Amino acid sequence: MSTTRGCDIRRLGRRWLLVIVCTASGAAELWAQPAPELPRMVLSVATGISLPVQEPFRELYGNAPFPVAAQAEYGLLRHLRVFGGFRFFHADGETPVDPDFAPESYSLELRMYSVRFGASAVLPLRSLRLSAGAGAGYHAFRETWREPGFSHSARALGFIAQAGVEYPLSTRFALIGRVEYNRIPAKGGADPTGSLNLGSLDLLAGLAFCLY
Amino acid sequence: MSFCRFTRPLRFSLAIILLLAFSASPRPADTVLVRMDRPAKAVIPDGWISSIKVLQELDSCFLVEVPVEMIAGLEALGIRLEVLDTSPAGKPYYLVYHAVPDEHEAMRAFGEVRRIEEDISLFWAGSEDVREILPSHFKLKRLPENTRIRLEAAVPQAQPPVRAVEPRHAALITQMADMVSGQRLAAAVQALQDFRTRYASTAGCEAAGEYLDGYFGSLDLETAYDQFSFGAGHSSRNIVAVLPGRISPEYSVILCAHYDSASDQAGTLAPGADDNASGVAALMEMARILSLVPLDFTVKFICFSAEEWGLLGSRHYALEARQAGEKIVAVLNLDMVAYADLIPEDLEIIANSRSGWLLDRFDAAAGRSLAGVELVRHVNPSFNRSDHSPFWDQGYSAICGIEDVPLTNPHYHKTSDTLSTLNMEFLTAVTRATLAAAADLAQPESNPPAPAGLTAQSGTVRSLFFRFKNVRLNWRAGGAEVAGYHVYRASTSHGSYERITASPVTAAAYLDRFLDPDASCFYVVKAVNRQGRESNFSAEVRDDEHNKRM
Repeated sequence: MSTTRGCDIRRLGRRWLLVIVCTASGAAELWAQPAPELPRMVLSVATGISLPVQEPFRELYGNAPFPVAAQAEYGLLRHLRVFGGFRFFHADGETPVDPDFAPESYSLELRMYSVRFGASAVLPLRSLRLSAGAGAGYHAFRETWREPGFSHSARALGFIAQAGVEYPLSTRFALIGRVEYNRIPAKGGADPTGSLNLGSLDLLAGLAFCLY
Repeated sequence: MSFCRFTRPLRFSLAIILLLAFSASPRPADTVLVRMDRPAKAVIPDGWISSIKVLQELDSCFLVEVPVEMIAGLEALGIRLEVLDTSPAGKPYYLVYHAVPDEHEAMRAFGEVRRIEEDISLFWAGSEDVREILPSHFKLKRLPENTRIRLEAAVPQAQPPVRAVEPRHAALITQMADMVSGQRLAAAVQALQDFRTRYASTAGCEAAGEYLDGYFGSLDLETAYDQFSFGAGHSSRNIVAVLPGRISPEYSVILCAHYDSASDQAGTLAPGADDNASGVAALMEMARILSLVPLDFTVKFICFSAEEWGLLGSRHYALEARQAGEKIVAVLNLDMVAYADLIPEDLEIIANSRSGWLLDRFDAAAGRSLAGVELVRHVNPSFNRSDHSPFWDQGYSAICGIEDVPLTNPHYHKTSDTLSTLNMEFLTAVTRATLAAAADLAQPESNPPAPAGLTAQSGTVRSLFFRFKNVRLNWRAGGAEVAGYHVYRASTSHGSYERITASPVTAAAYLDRFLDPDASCFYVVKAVNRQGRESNFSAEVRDDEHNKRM
């Protein structure tokens, strides 16, 4: 029993060692390349998966695929950009089943449109451009119970933080990867004792177009 | 030596564990008996409510037992408290009702006394036989030890919409009320008076109980003695006669009156014609008439004993009923209903806050039969001086019918309380009114039969911005003649039911969806036959009555 466990641990250790070596060698390879020129104006569009941060939200809607984020960035300084953008979020959900009552649930839909503004720091790292920023978002959302047709619409002001990486494919185009954290405190939730956060952690990938 | 070897963090942890162990170990809490003013709504934290033992609800206050250490906390919440006794364990307390405020002082000669309200005092003495200690004109109630009374901020003057008597029953109920015979009532009062005394613990009381048992037996009702002991080795019997319901026999309407009597010579002479041969005579006459008609729900005719000793018979019955989970739709108690100081006399009906609906039902049903006698309604939890009160204590809906509040009968608890002082026209009218209300509550059987076995379970469904209550109703399917069912809902118990099914549902189940989760709903169901004729209502259920987690 203990021998098997020891083998498992050694196997796991070897895998991690392999990952670290590969990552380090990749980073060294990137580091060796010359730093690219930073574009002043970048337009990007990205999609991926949205992971709700609050349990009641996650319980109802789960992880929502394909949020769409479009963003324009303008370099004010060499390492500082301001950004403005739009995000569309859509999720289908189900009300939770109460096993003590009846195995019955209702189909839900949540749509959210957001406008965001903020600033980010950009750091060229050989051929990559790393960025990290924060800002504010203004969100309009609507929750709908499909069967009876109830719906609730509201608006909220929130906070956004994002970290991303750009990999230039050409002088104009680049692949982007971005992690975004949205905090969207919403009033009037169904649980009067709790505070509702419609925010999520978004894992996005997309394409950027460098205007100049 | 070994302790010294422990490291400092270990010693600290041990101290914390010991501290927690001592603080968590159960130790008997010292409680005190307190008069507590009605608190403002929701001022007491939920966690404290379970430590407060409510013994009595009155109009202005509650009598409660609370742990000593909670007193300061309650006062800090702005609740006015008065400690009545610092060692209440095991003491028999009595509420004593006196007509004159000065009599409060007079009671000091007999034992400990505290003023609770203007005409109500709390009394206790070394003996349990307080009836034998205090003069007979004091009305007593032994304070209950186990109640289902809730701490409520204010006495709501319940005004639910009145549901009219079913039109097809109206004629039958009027016909039944017309069968009430003044001569029979007078004969029954005379027969009870002829026992000379019915003072509980005497042979006269036992003989009167056997007479009543025989009378109800002669009507083919199921009868039983409900024996109980009280005081210093006394015992007595409630007389319980049952008219089983045809559709939902597990639900019962209780008609009651006490048959024991009192006077200043109680051991030998206490005719008690008004108090309370009058109420028992009404019960006997109602039993005779109601037994002729098939009813949906069971009707119980109960003659309580030892009412004059502090409502001891009804206290015994109501507590056992609650412990057995008895489903009591309503309790109608009659006590002193034949003396008229004015012509025409009015009938006073007293309810507590949760029995307001019953006041309305009585009013609606009795109005047609109470010609010449006005009904005066009171919602007053302080009126605890008769056998409806122990049912209030156990959370049942109950009302009391009485000739005057305050009492005006000069023969009260005297040997002169005889048939010759009574107004039999008034007693006849009261009996008719009560019979009409009882028949309406128990529902004369109809075709098709009313659905039985109705249960309700509620659950909450929610999303981020919505929370609803869904209620699942189930009932036993009717016979082949039943084509479907209509479901009715009310926001107050026995309130004005609103039909929620547009057309009859064929299944013996219904899901009422998207309701306000913070409001209670009450449901009844009617069966519909192929000709479209509707049955009586089923028994009423509250939306969460059969929830598993209750």
